[in-house]
Amino acid sequence: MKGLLLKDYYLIKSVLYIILVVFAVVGIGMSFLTSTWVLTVIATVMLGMISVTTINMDRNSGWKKVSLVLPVSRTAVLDCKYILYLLLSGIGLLLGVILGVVASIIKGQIDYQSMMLFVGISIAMALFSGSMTIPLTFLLSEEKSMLALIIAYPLSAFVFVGAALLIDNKLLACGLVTIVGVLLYSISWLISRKQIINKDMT
Amino acid sequence: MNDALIISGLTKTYKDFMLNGVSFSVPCGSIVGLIGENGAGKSTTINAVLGLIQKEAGSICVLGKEQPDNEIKEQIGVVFDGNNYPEIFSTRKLNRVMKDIYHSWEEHTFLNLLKKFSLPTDKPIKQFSKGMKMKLAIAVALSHNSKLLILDEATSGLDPVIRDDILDILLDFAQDETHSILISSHITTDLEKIADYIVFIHEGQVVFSKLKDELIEQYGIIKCGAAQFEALDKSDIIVYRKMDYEWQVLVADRAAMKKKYPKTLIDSVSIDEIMLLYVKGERGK
Repeated sequence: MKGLLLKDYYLIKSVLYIILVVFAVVGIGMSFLTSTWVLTVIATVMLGMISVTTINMDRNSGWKKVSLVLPVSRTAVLDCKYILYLLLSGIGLLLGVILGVVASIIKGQIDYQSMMLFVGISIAMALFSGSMTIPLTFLLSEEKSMLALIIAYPLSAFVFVGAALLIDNKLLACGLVTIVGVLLYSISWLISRKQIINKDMT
Repeated sequence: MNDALIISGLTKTYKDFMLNGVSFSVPCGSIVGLIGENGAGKSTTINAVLGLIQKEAGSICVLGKEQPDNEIKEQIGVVFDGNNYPEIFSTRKLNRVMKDIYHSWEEHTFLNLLKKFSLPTDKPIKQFSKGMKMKLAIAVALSHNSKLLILDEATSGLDPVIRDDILDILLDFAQDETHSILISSHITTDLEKIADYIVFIHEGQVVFSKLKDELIEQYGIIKCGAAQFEALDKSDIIVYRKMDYEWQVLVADRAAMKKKYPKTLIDSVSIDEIMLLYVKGERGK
């Protein structure tokens, strides 16, 4: 698996500067328009998305097929993507929190409740969307996986908004959605591992 | 172990295509050419051998094992048609990645092969020509102690010079008696140069699996008119095809046919002609 992760590291390095530019533009703009803590959501989701992007890059470069004939199990190839997603989302979250703190200090106000709320939103959004986009991008054709990418993020936001409307305590709603997100991500990982073993992959 | 690969009764069904009881083997130390028109089932067979698709029936034994584990996969070198590796990679980066994937990776061999094939180590693969990409894929396949090479249409779309280079590399690899190659191609002239055996797949079925020399030296093609065709013993005919001005008839024993029909023109036959006759002709009775 080390080799597979190294391969993804090289791939990510090649697109990282584009992501950072997009993040800077979107993040700075959004943080002025809304809360500074929105940076955590943007950073977490954007960096997590790179893991999904590498699946499509693998497909287009022919590596996906090659990886399945390498001396690594099919499940290891899949595990690599789930682990990478968690790693990148985690880095994004950390980066977002640091930037949020810096931005709050510059603005002269640190609202810890907002910070906790946005950290929860970030984790929930990342886990919800990841639990959909990773398996669908990996197991389905490129066209169908594009559809999954389009649907996953609004659907994740919808679940979160739905929970926030149903439960008055926003932090509690956020916590519950995060727990559901963790469960969903774990279930998605387990089901995908079972699916990939017997799936025709050409 | 006499055979590097044994395929027996391999069956796989799709909506509009069926691989139907494909059976053949790749003896150790030999090169087996898998021929057939596009869509005949060559790639499906190779995909099943590599475990990319699940077979419905039959068995596949690779290097002595029916369920190839990672140890066996280490000994299989695979080259697919088209792109094999991320195009932003340089061969240097690819070497680092492969070193962490294959336990048996031989960096020295890989770097030597890059040198031999005149492949740069610092340029991204996207700047390589198709021939260079194919040579790179072969260099990777030869750098982890492969015992069995599997190439799916590896020479298609390449110019004759590059194809010849690649065939030389394959011939060199097959000099070792523990090494074997399964190569699929619809460029039959390439296989005529290097293959020991020819397996012909047509509409998902193996039509024949024979020694190449037997096909080239023993098979023959009778080119005759309608009257001569009618006079032929039908049991001598494998397949025949009616052309505009003549009949073409494939026979299994050219020498015997020359004796039996001394007044008939009987030529030697190329694998290309055999394939065409099977695909476009009609079976004898």
